[in-house]
Amino acid sequence: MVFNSLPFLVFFIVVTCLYFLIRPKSRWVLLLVASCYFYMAYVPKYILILGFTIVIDYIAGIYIEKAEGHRRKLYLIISICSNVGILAVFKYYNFLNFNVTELLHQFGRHNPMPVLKFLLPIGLSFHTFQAMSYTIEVYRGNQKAERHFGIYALYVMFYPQLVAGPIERPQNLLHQFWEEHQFDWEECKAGLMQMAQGLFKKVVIADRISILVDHCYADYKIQSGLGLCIAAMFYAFQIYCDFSGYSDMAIGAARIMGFKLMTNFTAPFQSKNITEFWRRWHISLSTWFNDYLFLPLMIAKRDWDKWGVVFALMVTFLLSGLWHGAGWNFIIFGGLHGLAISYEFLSKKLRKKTSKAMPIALYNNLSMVLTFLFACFAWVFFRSRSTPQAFEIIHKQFHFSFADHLDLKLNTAELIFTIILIAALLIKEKVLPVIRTRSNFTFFSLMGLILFSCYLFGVFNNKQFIYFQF
Amino acid sequence: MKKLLLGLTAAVFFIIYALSCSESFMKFIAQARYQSDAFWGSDKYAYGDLFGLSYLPQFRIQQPPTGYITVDVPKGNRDINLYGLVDSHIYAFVKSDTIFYGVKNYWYSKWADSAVNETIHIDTTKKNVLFIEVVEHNIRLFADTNHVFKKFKVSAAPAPAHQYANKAGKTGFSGSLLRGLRDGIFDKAITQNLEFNLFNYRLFTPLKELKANINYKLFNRVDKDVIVSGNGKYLYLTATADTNYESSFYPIPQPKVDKIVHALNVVYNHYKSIGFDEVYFTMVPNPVSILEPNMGNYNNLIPRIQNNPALQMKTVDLFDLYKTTNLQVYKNSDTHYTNDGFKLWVEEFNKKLMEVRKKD
Repeated sequence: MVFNSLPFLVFFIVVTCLYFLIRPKSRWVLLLVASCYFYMAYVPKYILILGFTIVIDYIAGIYIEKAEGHRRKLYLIISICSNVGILAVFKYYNFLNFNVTELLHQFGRHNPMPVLKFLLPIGLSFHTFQAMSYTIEVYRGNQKAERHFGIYALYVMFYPQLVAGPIERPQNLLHQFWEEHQFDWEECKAGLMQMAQGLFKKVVIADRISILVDHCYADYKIQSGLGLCIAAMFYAFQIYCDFSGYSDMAIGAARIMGFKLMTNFTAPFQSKNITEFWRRWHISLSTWFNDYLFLPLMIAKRDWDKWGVVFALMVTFLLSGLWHGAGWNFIIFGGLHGLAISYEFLSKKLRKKTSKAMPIALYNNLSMVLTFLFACFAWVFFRSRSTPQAFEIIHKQFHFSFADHLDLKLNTAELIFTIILIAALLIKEKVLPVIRTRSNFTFFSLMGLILFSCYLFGVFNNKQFIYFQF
Repeated sequence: MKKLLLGLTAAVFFIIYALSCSESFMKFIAQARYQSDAFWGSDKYAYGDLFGLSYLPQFRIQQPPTGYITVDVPKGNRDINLYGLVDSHIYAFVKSDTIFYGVKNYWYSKWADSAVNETIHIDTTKKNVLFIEVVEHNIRLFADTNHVFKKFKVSAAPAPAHQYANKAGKTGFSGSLLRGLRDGIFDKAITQNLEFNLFNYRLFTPLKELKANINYKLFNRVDKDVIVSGNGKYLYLTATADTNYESSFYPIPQPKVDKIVHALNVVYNHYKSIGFDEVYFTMVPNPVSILEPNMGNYNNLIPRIQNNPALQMKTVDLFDLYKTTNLQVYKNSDTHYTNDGFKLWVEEFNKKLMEVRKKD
């Protein structure tokens, strides 16, 4: 049940109305049942996997809190192993198997490991990380273990952020399920406005750009270098509008019911370097990696001085790449970002000197453009189906010519329209990050305009959100 | 007041959702709304099934009732039991079995039915004719002959009296109770059903046309399932006119054609051995194959099958008929042929039925 679908529209209306109709004490039941239904609309049986991790982590949380000394660590390890184990089996087993087969093939040996044929449970990486953050925080003593099984299950399964985040921390979300949320018209308006903006980003911008990008990547062998360069740049906006559009809808949907989810994007294309980019892009994931992997690693390797930081950065970003997908192209994607941030860390002084040597506006704008181009370059690995495909595309891109023939599937009018939409979005993010709608007249007029534009200019091709595959 | 409003909204949308999951309700409401001229009626098929996909206003062409044709049927004994395995080109067009020469009883089974539990009992002491009709882009249905046999199960035993009278085979519920429950709660057709129940009203048609017009005129884009013909007068189903394997322009190597011919022979001999006096086969050409074969490289699938020397199945050739006629045989905004196109088939088929009679 994707957010930009009619089943979700009806589901959302029914659940939200019922939420404010029933007694606050019973609301968790409604939300849990609704979340189960929402999840089961994809592949019903995968609810069992989710149920398994919920039970393990629920029990682990209580035991971690009760236990002392090395036993605490043991329970934490059990919890993490079961979460990572499920992730490993469903997401990484076949990747590992394929690489073992290739390796053994080099030595003329046969790989006896069978290939597993199943669909990746939707949102597995997201809810697994959210579940792990709970047991880690309980272990660290930052969060009390949740005794109410239903509430804990809801923490993992809360439908607005179940399949693609934001990946929440227990300190931010768990207590909200215990609070009594009253219907607040101002919050409702703000939530609806955020949802409408998310929908616009998804159906009007992202899905329109996907026509161009999908076409270029599908026929990359016959595409010109210039065409592939354009596709790579457009993909940056596609993935941004797709994922931030989803996040807006998730945060908006939760906000209407009185829940505050963490912000996931803050105008990432305004970043002046890759370090800043990751502070603005997929914030819930980058802070997760920062809190639970980078910082502990950096502290563990503090004896290595600045190389300890570089080590921690590289490990974090390589794993972050792997988190996105089981493939070498995703690992390279992560590795490139790790290298870029390591370079930025090591060249801080040099860059500061350079910045003083030129006008600040020029330096900032140049930095922004370079950061954007680097992100586009790394996303070629992300978007490609395989590493060889990515290299082939990059090879073509580096041999582009402005005289290249273009076959972008969008005609000139639609291309210009898309560029105007992107420009409008970037300006809006800089000038008016949040649209305030105190007056009902402004709210209804604006909502009507956005929804009408979504209908009139939306591309409805039943396209899933890109991050649902993770 | 606020609670009442919330409750009412929740109830209304819940009912809409629940009803949209019900196959029987959807069948009922669709039939009622397709036939209604009121604002709550649906325009989806009123102007052709391809208009219902594209909503291009220039293709909003009122469709005459399908199948109402006058055919000169030579008089004579009506003693043929006619059976058909057909799609909407036949079952939506045949209004009466009197259009068929010498036919006493007519019974048909649809390709589209998910399950046909009924086994047809044919009385081999009588004259039995089977015709199989398939549209060109669905020829792959013959990739698996067992699939054909499942769709049309026959037993050579006397037929129960109630079997005939221009009727379709009964479809039955297939699958376990659990699967039924799952399909009911997580209905795969829920999106299109909700679209139908929430937005597919006549009053929304102008809005849909506006969107379609903007996309077509400004962005040169139409619905992904539809292609506008080169002269702008016809709509084609994308699957028949792009480059995928159902298309008229998908290259089909000779061994594949031979495989289809072999499958047709297997089907032919199977039904003949059970007791049919004759088995006929019709391929309805994709409109693009007749009207615009130069849109790509037409794969000549129909002529290659029909002219294959190994083919034993008797064919009712529409391809050559449509190529040579001056009549408009295809609707402008629909995947089906016109009544004239249908009439050409009936007349051609009646000639075949006369040949069956002549064998006596």
